[in-house]
Amino acid sequence: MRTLSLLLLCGFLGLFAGPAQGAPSATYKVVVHPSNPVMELSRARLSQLFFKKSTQWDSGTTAMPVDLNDSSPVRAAFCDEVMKRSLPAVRAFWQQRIFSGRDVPPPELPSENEVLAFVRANPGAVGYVPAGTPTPGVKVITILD
Amino acid sequence: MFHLRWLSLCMGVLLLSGTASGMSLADGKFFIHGYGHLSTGRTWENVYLSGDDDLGLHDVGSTLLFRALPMERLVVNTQFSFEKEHGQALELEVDYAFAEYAFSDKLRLRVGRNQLPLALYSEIYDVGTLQPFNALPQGTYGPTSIGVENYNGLGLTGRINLPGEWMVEYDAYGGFLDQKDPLTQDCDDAEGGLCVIESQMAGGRLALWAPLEGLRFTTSGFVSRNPEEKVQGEHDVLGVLGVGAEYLGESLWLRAEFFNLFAEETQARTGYLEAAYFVTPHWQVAGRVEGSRTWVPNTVSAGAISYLRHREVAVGLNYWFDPHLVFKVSFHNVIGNRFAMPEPTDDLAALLHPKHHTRLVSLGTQFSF
Repeated sequence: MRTLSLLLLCGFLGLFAGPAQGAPSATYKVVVHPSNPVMELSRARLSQLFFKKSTQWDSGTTAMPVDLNDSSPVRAAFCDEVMKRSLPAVRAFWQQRIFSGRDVPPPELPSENEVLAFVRANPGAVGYVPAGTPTPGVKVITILD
Repeated sequence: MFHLRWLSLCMGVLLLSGTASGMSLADGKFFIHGYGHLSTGRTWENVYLSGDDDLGLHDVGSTLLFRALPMERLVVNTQFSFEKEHGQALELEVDYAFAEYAFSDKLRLRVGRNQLPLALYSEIYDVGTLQPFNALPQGTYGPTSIGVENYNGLGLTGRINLPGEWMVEYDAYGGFLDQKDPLTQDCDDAEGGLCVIESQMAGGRLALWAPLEGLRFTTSGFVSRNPEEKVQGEHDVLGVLGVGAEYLGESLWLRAEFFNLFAEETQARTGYLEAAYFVTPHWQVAGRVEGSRTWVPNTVSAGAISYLRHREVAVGLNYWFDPHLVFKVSFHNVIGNRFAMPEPTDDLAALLHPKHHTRLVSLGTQFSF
């Protein structure tokens, strides 16, 4: 009986042991152009930029989000944790925006190297790459929940 | 033979679209997207949603959308549709063609032929991969003065981020629209059995996006005026006003809308509640209840009053290969003849006393890329 109680307690605590949803992830890091004065960004603000609900940085520069393509597990993690939606739900959101003539999704690039090149080339760019990727020539920013 | 060609063309596009999600060309300055559908149905008692007692290919359509960004802040959008409804000729239509200049997120100016930002589905009328049924609720999106797809004129749109992750998106517009209504008297211009009246109009929509991603509330409406004077100094004026709510979650889709139409010669109220749920990543079940009621000033015989009524319960089962390709089957139980009408006949007695009850089995596939 005591063992069962301990197991239940451990199981209950285990529910809270994982990273809270939306917490900054160890699987990716968010990068911007070195000239961007932003050092940290809230999760909600980053989500707005990737849903294009906001298209400008506070400095007035046009924001240019860039995605990794569908096959990347990092893309799925970014959707879940930052945009709070699964990848299929994000795709459905963009279908609605595309066909209503409102907007198109951020460009999708096939590799982290291309994402980094895009960010280096565009002062308003913001992207994400796997956590272990070297990021010369771009600035890694902190995401606050 | 014609059907076969269309079927082959659509199946080809459908297969190509299976894994695609549009094309981005010219370094992200030009985009091509598209969607299409094939549908058929079998009805009992009346003709409804192009379906009759013959299970043939009833409704075929394909659409291409082009979006170009010739310079920063300027976007040019155009969309063409090829549509063929049961018993009608193939039609090519420009759904919209407009230029949009973004002064900021809060203010964008649109000029040209625009989709009418009215109801939840108004801007995505035929995009089957965004809908749980083969056809939209007829009281709101069918052949009525509410179900208008586009207008020619000027529009302002923008979005304002509010505290706590709320957001307001607004639209204000004015110009001309083609109203289509089978109930209109003294029709000068008919198209597909519907009376078409080009009217001046102005309207708007407010959409409030909640912090819960996928949830929004809308209120919208427009006023239109027939430019031709009925008697000297008097024009027919029509008003449409409605509210809606939508939640597009991971597994659950919920939509509800209610619209009111006010005019001197007719009044209508219509509403529906629609729910769809992904039981697995591929299988989705759907249900919808709908009611629509129209009033006209003239006395209508008891037998014919059902031409002003529509009540419907529909259930559906969908299989999604992926978010861009779906097969749907649904059953619709309809009471009233506002949209489910008898086969055309010279028998006046049969027309004056229609059968009120219609059942429809609808089958279809839709794709998008």
